[in-house]
Amino acid sequence: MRRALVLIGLLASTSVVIDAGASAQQTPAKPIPTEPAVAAATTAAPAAPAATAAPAATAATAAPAATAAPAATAVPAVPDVHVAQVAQVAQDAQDVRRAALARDPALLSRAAAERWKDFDPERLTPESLPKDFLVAHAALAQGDLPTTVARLAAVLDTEPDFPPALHQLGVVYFQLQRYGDARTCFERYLEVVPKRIADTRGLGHAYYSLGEYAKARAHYERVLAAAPKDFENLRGLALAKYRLGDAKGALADLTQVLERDPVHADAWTWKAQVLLELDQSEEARVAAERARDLAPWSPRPWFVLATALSDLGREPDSRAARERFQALSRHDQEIRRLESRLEHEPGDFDSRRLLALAQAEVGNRGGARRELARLAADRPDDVTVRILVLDVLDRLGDVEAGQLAARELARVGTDSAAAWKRLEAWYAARQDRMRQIEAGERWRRASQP
Amino acid sequence: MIALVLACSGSGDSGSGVPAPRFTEVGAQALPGVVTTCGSPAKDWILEVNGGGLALGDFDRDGDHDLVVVDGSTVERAEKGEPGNPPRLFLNRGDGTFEPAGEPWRIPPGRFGMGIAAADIEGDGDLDLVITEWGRARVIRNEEGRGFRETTTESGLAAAREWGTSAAFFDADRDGRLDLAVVNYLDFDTTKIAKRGVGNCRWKGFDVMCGPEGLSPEHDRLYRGLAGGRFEEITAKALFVPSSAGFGLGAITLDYDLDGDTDLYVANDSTPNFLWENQGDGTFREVGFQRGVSHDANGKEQASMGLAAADANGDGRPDLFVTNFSGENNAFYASKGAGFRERSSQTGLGGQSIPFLGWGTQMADFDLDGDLDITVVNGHVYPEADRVGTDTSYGQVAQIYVNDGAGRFHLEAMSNAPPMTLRASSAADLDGDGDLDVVALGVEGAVRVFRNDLKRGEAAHWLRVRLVARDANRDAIGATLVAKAGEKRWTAEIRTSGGFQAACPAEAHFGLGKAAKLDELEVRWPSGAKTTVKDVAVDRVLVLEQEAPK
Repeated sequence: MRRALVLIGLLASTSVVIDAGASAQQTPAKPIPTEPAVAAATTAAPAAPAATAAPAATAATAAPAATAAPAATAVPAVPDVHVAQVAQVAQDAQDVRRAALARDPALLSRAAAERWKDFDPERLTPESLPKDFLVAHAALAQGDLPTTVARLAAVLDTEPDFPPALHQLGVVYFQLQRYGDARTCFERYLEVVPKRIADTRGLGHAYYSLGEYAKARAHYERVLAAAPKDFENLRGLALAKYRLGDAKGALADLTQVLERDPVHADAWTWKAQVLLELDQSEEARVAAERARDLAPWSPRPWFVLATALSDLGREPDSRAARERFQALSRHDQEIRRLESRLEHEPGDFDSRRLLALAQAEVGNRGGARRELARLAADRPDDVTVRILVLDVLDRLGDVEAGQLAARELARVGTDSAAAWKRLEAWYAARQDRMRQIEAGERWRRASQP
Repeated sequence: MIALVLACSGSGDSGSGVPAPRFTEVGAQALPGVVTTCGSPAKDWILEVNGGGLALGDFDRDGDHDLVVVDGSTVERAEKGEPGNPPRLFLNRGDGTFEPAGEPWRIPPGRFGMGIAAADIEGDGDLDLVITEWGRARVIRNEEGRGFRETTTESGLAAAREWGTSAAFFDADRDGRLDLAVVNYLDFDTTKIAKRGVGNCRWKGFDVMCGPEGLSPEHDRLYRGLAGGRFEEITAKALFVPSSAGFGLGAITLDYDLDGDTDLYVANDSTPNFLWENQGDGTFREVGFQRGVSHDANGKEQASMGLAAADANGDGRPDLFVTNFSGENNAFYASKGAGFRERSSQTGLGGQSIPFLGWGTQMADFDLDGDLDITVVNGHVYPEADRVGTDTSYGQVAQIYVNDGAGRFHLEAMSNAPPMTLRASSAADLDGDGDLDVVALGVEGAVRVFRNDLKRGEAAHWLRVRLVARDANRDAIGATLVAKAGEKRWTAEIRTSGGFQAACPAEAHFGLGKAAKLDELEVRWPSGAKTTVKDVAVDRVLVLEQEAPK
């Protein structure tokens, strides 16, 4: 039963980000990953949940940022898929992935009418699921969206309209910024299992990202009626209202979201923006400052703050916020470019390395850790990766995670002079004399011909 | 592609009960056989995707609007040192159809033509040209309405080989002579930029041509007009240098702060847009961020292409409209206080534009009902846009956003023409029937002419006003006009810049709705002098000459 509930969680929590103009992808569901994420970054364990948490929503529309949905709990690792299967996923040929991405979901086979009318996810267990679905799940956890699409399509070829696959395909298309295809999948899902409306906030997100704000609002309202505690849906509704000119309605909804989740940086930013629209500049400033404090690496709160300060006639403060915005914005453009590339080519090592460095550059500890975890997972025995991990954590001032990374570097780089040289410097900076001396000695030995 | 067409297949009713204007694409009759080239259809290089430029204006001084088409070339020809296709003038027969101008109007070919600016540089009463190229910008002088003569060599324009896109004439220092801004895109060099498929440049997972991201933007240039139709570069002296160069594509002049001097707004691709505030002495300060027009409302720089400026919300100050890349909304910046606030979605201009990649645009009263509508011509830069999962398409329909008079715009297809890959566009009354027609260039191929087939009723009055200044540039670029009828006010500004790589006639076109006459027409000339005319008859072209200075 626990596993069945896990699956329901998967359906209900469309882990997508909408309106991410200001690097929503950098806004973690929780401000800073917890210790297990650090361990993942340094021990090569696949950082499963994070992989689905934050698509790089570069669509401009997707302007206003959003928060990664509660992905960490929503998309659990599937225990039935062991490491060998995951490795197999990674080996899917590029042409297979490209062929999968070239498919039009509108042309997928359809089930006979009412084939799924009695569908009840409560009755599903991982053991009863198609193997391709489980592998897709694992690929998604690895951040390999093309393979996820390929495997979900395979499921739907053999079991047309299988609701969990349709739904998950919608989520993945959304993450790939294929909003029209996401809409196709979610709409089909609702056709097949109309009672599952509560699962489909992602359809509202798709409408919204396509600029269909009236349809988005109507759909969010339907989901709200079925799932009144889905605050991510409520946030979507707020944004749709704002786009349709109902700033007061948007403000009321965002206020509710923030009562539920007071550290929702994106909701604070949106609240600030809506307040600006309502000419409440002082309140907008307060909200923007809150957002900035929660996500200081994200340019958007700084942008809104600069605007609010300017409206208040506080030009020197506005200029300072603007300068910070501009500095962050330059990095943000590069981050979005790299993230977009990695969505289609998750194995592009250089892009992921650059992304980790860019996240570190803006001080986005969670974002940097996530990319480091994936690098380490892709190349678990690569000393240069381990050194990079340590370098980045060092730059971030993340000593706790750095110590774990140092241990991993020592383990992987037993005979590597470069590893011990780096470790010597690390321990010297920590004033850990004993380990520093030991690392220095190992470096000298490893350096000898 | 189907989605993009359906999204625009309106019923012909704007939603306010007012029939939407209908255009008929008559390019095959108006300009038979006229086509342009811009590289290869595969679009392996970014140089090949912007298309050429066009200018509408009365070049032969016969009272109707003629057309200059700027044509391109191919990368291979340009690299071999072979000339590109020459720009061509087509003379209006008076009915909105055109014929090639004769030999006196022949314009020599350049390297690879891009955009165009038109104005009476010398103040001798005829329209001259500046043509931007991937190469050196060129000056083409009009010899008293009888033919063209190239004067680039002695013009004073920089000899540097740059990629110029749009250009704009305005009197920046208010000395009575027209100055010139040339907007540059990026440093294009096939030895430094990888070709599509080689450069590992991707969009939505597909191999596409590289750029502009990752390439080097080029700074724009500002020139001061001198006697004899020459120019002097004053880019640095006028402080016309931003902290970071942008990938410049569009330019439009406007007096955004109503202080009497002319400012300049520049659309940049993938980099923040610039608003150059004239300091009153011919120097400039870039205030795009401070005035709220550098980014969208979420602080994201957009890939901006074309520009329009006009007072759409009736507060007497110009608003701005910017066309952007697919996946981004076109941006409407409403004037607010000392600056602007983006109100794209709230006015209905945001969401509907997201699947489209917009280029040329005009803000004008196309249905003559007394409020401003917006036309946009669209078309993607990547042929790969037709692949699965892009949420857009390569060919796209031209659109009109019809103002409902209450602050919202409703999207309609401009015509029944099929989706096309359009770029530059300009609007003018080509057939003399009072309403505005639109000419557009494709990235390559046939020139398109959208004839406005508005069925004029009692509530569709209009007035076209041309100014002749005596104490400023002759066409009065930079002048503002306020038309008044009862409680209604319409504001317009004289310019020849706007859209994308295009020039429009230096005149104000007012759609007046039910107003069968104007109580008053007020002109503020570029010098600051004012003229007021009472009881102005409408449905005509009014030429207003400034009184000679005493």
